[in-house]
Amino acid sequence: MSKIQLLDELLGQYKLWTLKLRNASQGIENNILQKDSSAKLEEKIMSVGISSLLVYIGTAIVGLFGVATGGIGVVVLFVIGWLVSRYINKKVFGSERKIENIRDDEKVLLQRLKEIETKHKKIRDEMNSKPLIVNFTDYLKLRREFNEFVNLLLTYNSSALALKYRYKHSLVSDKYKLQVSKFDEIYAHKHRR
Amino acid sequence: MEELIEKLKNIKNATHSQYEDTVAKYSYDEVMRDLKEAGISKDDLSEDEFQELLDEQIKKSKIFAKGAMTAAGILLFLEFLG
Repeated sequence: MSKIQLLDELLGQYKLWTLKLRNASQGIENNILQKDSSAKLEEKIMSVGISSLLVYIGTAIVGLFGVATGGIGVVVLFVIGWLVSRYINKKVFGSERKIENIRDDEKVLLQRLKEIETKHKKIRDEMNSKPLIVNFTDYLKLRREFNEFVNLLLTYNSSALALKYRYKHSLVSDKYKLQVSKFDEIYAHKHRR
Repeated sequence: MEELIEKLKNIKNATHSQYEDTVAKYSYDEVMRDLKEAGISKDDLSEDEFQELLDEQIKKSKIFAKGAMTAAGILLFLEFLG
C-alpha cells in the first residue's frame, strides 16, 4: 500500500472514529446523569413483579393457617408490595440527575469529556475543509489529554449513583478506553500486540 | 429523537414488526446524517463498519423509544399504579 493510500485510509478511519468517540462519550455522560429513559419501564415492571410476588407469598402463608385471604387483604398486600418496590427502585434505578446538582468533580469530568470530543470534531472538520493541511499532528498532547481523562474516569467516586449506574460505570469506561486505544492505532498508526 | 417520538405516537397500535421497522428506518437515517456530517461516504465503509454504527444507533433508539412509549401512555395502566 502506498503512503498516499495509507494516509487516505487513516483519514477515513479517524473520521469514523470520531463518531465512535461521540457514542462512548454520550455513554459516560448519560450514566453519570442517570439518563436512561428505558429505566422508567423497567421500574414499573419491577414494581408489578414485586407486588404480585408479595400477594402470592402473603396469601400462601395466610393459607397455611387455613384462612382464605379476601379481596381487601390482596389489595393491602399489593399496596405494601408496591411501596416496598418504590424504595427498592429508588436504590436500584435512582432518578435523572440535573447537571447543577452534581458534585464539582463530576462537573469537571463532564466538562473535560465534552472538551475532548469537541476538539476531535474540530480536527475532523479541518480535515474535511482543508484537505491539504498536515494531518495527525499534536499526537503527544492529544494522548496526554486522554491519559488525564482516563485517570479521572478510573478515580471517579460513583457512590452518588444508583446501583444500576454504579455497575454500568465500569462498562461505559471500558468502552471509552477502547476508543482511546483505537485513537493510538489510527492517529499514531500504532498497532496493539 | 423528537422525530422518533412523534412517529411512535402515531403507530402506537401497530404490530411489533411495524414498530421495529420505524426504529430501524429512523436509525438508518440518523447514521446517514452522522456520516454526512463527518465527511464520510457510506461506500467508503465496509459492511461490518456500517452495520456496527447502525446497530449502535438502533440500540440507542430502542432505549429511547421504550421511555417515550411509557411517557406517551402505552403503559398507562402502570402509570396509574405509580
